[in-house]
Amino acid sequence: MNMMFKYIGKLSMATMIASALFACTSDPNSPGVEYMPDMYRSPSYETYIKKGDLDSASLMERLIEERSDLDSTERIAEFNLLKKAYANFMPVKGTVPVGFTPFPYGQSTEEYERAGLELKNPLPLPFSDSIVKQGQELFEIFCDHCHGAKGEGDGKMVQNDKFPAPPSYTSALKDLPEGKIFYTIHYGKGNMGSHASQISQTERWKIVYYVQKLQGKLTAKTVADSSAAPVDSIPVK
Amino acid sequence: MRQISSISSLLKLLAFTLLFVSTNVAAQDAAAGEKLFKKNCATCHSWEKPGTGPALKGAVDRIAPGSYGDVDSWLKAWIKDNAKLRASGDAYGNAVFAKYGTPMSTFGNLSDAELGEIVNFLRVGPSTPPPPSGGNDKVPGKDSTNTEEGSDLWLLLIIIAVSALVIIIFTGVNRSMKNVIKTKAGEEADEPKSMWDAMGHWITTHKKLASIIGFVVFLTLGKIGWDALAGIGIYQNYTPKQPIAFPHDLHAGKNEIDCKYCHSSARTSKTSGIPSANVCMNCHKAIDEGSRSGKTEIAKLYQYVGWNPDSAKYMTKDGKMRNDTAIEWVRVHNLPDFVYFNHSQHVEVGKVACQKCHGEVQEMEEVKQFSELTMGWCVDCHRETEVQFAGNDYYKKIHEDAKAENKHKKDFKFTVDKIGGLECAKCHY
Repeated sequence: MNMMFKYIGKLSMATMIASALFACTSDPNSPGVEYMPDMYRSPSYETYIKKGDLDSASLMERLIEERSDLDSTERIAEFNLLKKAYANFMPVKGTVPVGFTPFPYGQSTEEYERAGLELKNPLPLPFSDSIVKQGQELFEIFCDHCHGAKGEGDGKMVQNDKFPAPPSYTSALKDLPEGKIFYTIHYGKGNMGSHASQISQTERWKIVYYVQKLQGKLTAKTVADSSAAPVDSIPVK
Repeated sequence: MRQISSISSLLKLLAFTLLFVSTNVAAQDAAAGEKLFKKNCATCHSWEKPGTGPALKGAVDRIAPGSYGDVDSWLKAWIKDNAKLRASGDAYGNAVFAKYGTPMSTFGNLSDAELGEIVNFLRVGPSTPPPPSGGNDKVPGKDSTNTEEGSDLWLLLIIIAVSALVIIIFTGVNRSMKNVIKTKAGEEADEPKSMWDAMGHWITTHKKLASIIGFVVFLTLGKIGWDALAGIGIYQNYTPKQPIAFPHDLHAGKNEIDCKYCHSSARTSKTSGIPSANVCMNCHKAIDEGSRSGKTEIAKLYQYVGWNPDSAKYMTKDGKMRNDTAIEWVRVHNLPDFVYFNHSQHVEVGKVACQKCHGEVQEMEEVKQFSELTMGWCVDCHRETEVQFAGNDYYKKIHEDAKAENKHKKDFKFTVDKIGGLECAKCHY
């Protein structure tokens, strides 16, 4: 009996010390203990996964299998390169997403003017809230922190003196044609950067609608004049 | 003699007053000009650095007015309609245009007086900006609490260690005192017992108390062990150091940039998307100094993308843009590979706010994992959250059928689990 109590005493003492030590090592930089990493980590390339995060042995195996053109030194060089590289590569040059329409204007002042003259909004004009409201939602995500809720160049960034004020839609940009608005979202202008990677072409045209509404151009009359086609039939992506 | 001196002092006073008044007027003009400048010109011109257009510090001294005679009228003509001025064959205007390549907008809407104010501003320069708040801007106590917590723990441990030492010393002293008394009385001194022996002896003499203590210790250890096991694979509060100290509280909080501005693919795809560096550069071409870390952190971004803030151009390597270094952001939220989760489904269709799962990121200086991201957590939310039917025709039929079916039920809520939100194969396949 005495021995057993002794044993329990020793054991509990040791575990208490051990658990106290464990409690001290909660490091915000470490996610913690992982159970069966091979079930958690994807064997295929997921977004933002470094290839080196995958199993090195299987990466090497794959290299041996797939790249028979490399000799052993080249293979090691390639292995080291792949281990470092992220899976978010640029698409092969010349590839486009399915349904993507190329933008047939280059980046120059002449092309900007040309876009202003030629480029027309392919979306129909149902001022029935729906599209303009979608445009407004997108505007609130992508534009209003600089341009301001009403497009007067008084967004939060400008108020905080972080960014120079963009021109107002109701004065300097009052007569900016739709083609130029679209062009500017695509390529940027002045201090504004290109938003082509964040906003699809259809979404850009929706934003153009909302900007035109802020310019005071879209009124109930222009809408009544236009022949409204169902939104679904628009080919632009 | 006296008269002369008084006259000269009077003149001095007059001159001084005049000077004062005139500078004051110029300053007033310049203040109005600064306002106009901010509204009309600042989009492309800054005072110190070349942007889309040249930096305007010292512009009044650089300009060669040519046929316009003086700088003021040249500037006024240039601001009003620079294309006309260039067409007239002005050498300086054409040289500037050739250097920067982007034609300046025309400002026919500005009156002559306003143009004068702007020119005045260009002479005087911007009024001194308020000194940056610098390090004081930090979220109060963010860093210090962490270290305090640590030091508290250490303090506790040290106190325990010191008291244990004191107890050991005092028992030792106690024993030797007793031994001294015993030897004086002619008895045999006790042999010093080991700590374990003493403990064993104590346990055998206090069985009831010992078993109660043993039971409590067992429960505590069991609880600690259970929690430790249950915490495996749960990364809640994981706050990794990132390669660039990106402050979400400034971007999303103070400047109110929408989450989906940078994480734009959350609207359209499975992953919410860590923005590529071009999105950072949409603003950081113009902003090279942060309010918290000054230039150091933004300089890291420039290093990654190969941007030269002095020439305001991307550095090139073999004629191509440098793109050999990716910013290796450390992933904070990671679901296991056997779970399917789609951001667009939740953000666009479900209209779930980002904060529901990620916490108040707009208040976090460093992002940490807010939710536990366990299956129980998912399921709880699916049981509680009502489906967003408004403006979503996809579920129209199901919605109407279900409403008809559950007409008799009071307080019927159409939650996610009612449209299969708890089906295994929805997420595990």
